[in-house]
Amino acid sequence: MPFPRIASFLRHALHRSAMEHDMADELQFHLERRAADLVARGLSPDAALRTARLEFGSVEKYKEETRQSRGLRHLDELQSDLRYAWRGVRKNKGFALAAIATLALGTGANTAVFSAFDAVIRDLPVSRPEQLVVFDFQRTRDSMVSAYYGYCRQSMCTAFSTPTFARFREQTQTLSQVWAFVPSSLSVVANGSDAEAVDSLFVSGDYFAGLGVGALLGRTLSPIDESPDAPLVGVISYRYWQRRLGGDPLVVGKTVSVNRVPVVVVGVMAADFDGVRQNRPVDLTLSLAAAQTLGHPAAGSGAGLWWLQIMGRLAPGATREQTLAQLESSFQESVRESWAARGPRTPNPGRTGMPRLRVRAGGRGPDGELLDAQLTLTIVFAVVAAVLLIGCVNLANLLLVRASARRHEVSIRLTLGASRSRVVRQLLTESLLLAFAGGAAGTILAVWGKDFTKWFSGVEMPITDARIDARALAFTVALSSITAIVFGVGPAVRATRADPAPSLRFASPRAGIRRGLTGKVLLGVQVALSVMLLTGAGLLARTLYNFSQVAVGFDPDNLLVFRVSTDKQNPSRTFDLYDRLIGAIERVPGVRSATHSTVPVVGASYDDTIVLPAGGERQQDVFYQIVRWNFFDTLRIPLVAGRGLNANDGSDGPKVAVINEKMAREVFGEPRPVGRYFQTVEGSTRSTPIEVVGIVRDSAYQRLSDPLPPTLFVPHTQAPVRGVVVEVRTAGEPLAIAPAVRDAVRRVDPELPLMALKTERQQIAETIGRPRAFAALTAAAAAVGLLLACIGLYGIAAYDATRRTMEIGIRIALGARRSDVVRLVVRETMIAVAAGAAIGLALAGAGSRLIASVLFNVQPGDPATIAAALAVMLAVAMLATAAPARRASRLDPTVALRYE
Amino acid sequence: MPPQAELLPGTLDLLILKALSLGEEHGYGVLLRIERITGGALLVEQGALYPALARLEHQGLLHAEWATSDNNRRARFYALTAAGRKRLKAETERWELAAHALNTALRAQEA
Repeated sequence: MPFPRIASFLRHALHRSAMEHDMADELQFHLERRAADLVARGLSPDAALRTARLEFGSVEKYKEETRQSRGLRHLDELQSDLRYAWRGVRKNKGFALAAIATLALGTGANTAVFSAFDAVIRDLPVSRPEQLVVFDFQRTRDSMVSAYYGYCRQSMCTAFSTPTFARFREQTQTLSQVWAFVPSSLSVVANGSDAEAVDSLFVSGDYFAGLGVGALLGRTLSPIDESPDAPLVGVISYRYWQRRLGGDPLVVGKTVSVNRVPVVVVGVMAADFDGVRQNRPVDLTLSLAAAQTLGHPAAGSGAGLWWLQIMGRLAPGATREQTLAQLESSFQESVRESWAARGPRTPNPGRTGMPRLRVRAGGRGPDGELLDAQLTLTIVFAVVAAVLLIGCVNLANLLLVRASARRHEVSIRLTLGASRSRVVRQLLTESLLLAFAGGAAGTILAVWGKDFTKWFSGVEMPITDARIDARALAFTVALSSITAIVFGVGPAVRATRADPAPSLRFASPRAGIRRGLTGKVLLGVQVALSVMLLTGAGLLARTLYNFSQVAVGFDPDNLLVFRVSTDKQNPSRTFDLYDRLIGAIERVPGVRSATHSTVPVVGASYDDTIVLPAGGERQQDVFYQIVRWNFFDTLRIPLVAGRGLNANDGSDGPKVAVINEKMAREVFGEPRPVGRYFQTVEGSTRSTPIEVVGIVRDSAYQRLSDPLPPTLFVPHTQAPVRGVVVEVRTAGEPLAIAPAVRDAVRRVDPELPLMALKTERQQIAETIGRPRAFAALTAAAAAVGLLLACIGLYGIAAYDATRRTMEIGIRIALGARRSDVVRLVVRETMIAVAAGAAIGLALAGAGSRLIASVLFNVQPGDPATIAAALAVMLAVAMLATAAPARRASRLDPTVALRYE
Repeated sequence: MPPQAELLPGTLDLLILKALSLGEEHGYGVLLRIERITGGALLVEQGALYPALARLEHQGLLHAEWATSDNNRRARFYALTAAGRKRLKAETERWELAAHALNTALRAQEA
């Protein structure tokens, strides 16, 4: 009957003083009654009281037994254990801080990483995610799919043609629903705000029903919205509703302007669902039927273009294999149909390959890009796991050293009559206190660092808010706590089993040697992992340095850049718009000049074209920029021959181009081919001849890591332009005048969304976001690892010196010099360091290959970097062991020999 | 004074339960009652009574309450709970069985 006992325990534990009081009263009553009875039998009152006391026995002893009867003794012992542990912690602040910091870093950092991992790999928050499937196909260069608008690489495509979707929807018997969707970034003006680029999704009618997701307010979209004459309606995300519309409860029925078209908001999605793309939350969901009206570039194209992503939900009992078998032939039919409808300029028209359809599990959403995020997270995970390992090893080491320092204390307590279990429980309490403090600090760290993926700007990373994963936290806290308990209590248990007497006479040398060995093995592991982290940090630091040394060929300072997207339907209106835009920006005080290009200079995208020099044979691929005339002046790219572009190079004038020196050499085979002609080639068609009017110095195009590439510049009046990047050369700090530039753009057109406003320096930094982020992470990890190793080394050396105090004293007494003693103490730890470093070399070789794709101008196994890492490690090891060694060498032999 | 015997281990609890089955009583009263019902033949260590009472209360076999005693002093009175009554019955049966077995065994003679 456990309940009355628990109730009784709680009652007495909670009302402790009342219980003590009652107990005293009760015993007092007994003694008085007994004395009264004895007086009745003829004793004097004094003698009666004395006799009553004698008969009763020790009041305190029975009080204690009474407490024990009520289960309160454990509580008392726990209290005293805790008090004792706390005193121990305060006495040894350094040890406690090191242990708690180790635990905090280990649990906190790892929980944060686990949680971010989980944000990538967790199931969609929809009903029965295991029933979802996502379609993709594998293609080769020979596959009969040429025109696509979507994710299509690494031989895997997730984009399908409109007829494919229609066929799947019509013919499937294994799927209860099939739906298609396509992401888009749309310019939205809501509630009179600035035009803003909003991540949106065009979806077919069954999207919400198929996912089984409902609306928080209003309704979701349904097949009714798919009909061509349906009114334009949209569903907004909870986040967008809160952020832009202030959580307006009457939002349903209101209108927002999307790409200048009014769209009625019919619903708000549930807070936890922001679309099927986990790494790209969607704020606005619209019907696929609206894609064309809202100007989606692929909408309304026929059978030839592959642009829709397709998902489905398996009917009960159906399998993915059955689905594949059933839909394969209609997929192939679509491929043949799309190939027949291919454009006249399709390259490599002799293809016959049939891509292979696949039906994958879709519970985690459709995104193939997650593969990249996973690689990033794997690297992060490896680094953090190394830190956790170092942390645990360090903790173990600290506890081992402490345990052997306490053998003496344990022996005394055993000799004084403490039971073994009592001593072990005491040590356990201490370990648990440390584990608890470390776990608490780690949780704080995890909450603070859980959104660490946001520090990785410009890296493919899930940008959803990570949630702290309770399982991950439990796992890491458990792991660290187990370390604390095993290494905190294990040696103590062993100590209590031994006969205390010899340990009191002298610190049992054999046990000491064995313990020293465990410590040194642990030390070796730490050194190995630290060398690996140091090597990684070194390689990444060199990568960053190499990037900073790249000559970009233009002036990246005092340059403000942003994107604007414009209507594609009306080119003449766009020309005029660009002129007004640039004019308005150039009138802003502090602006030297403004220009625009189609591709950001050193940024996330590129454009290329194939050129054929007049009279030449060899076609060549070059990078392509469509720019305003003053582009070279604004970017400060020097002209080396001929002329730059100017306002006379109009749309009806002769076609002209400026090329860079690299293109001059590679395409024309001469340094200054001014006046020569070339054509651009698309499939089997060739453009009218274009005259080279000027040569400019080479400049960086997309990535800093690429050699400056051959680049072709043509005036925006002579090539189709949709959306541009505006570059503004400023007199001073670019961001200072950013608001004025924004105002100028708004005055020209309030519905023109201005996106990704930043300085050119920021934009360049983003392109190397990955190495930068990794460098920061590994540098921090290496610093932590080094610090922990340092603590471990110091602890081991100091322990070693203390353990051998008597030996050292004898040696000094026999005439050993100080340097001999230093060598003696340092040598033992240095053997462990050397062994660890050797293993670290191998680890560094393997680990650096993991980050090979991030490195620039430095090889993964770079000997200089590894040598530097080793040197740092050894220097730190020397420093850490020097202090205890020096202290040992200064020992007064007479004191040393009396030690213990 | 009649000859006194040491308590067998475990019998104190049984005696307390038996004593209290005759009516609620405070600690000292329980002691006197045990002396009376055993005819003074069993020696109960006075102090040991209280840990035993606390243990039985902790197990939910007794209920304790402060009340005024016959001489107008505040005293802690114990009474059997339903569980205590059940336990007393079970323990009594067990005891009788064991005592009978032991008696039989001790009287046994070589056949």
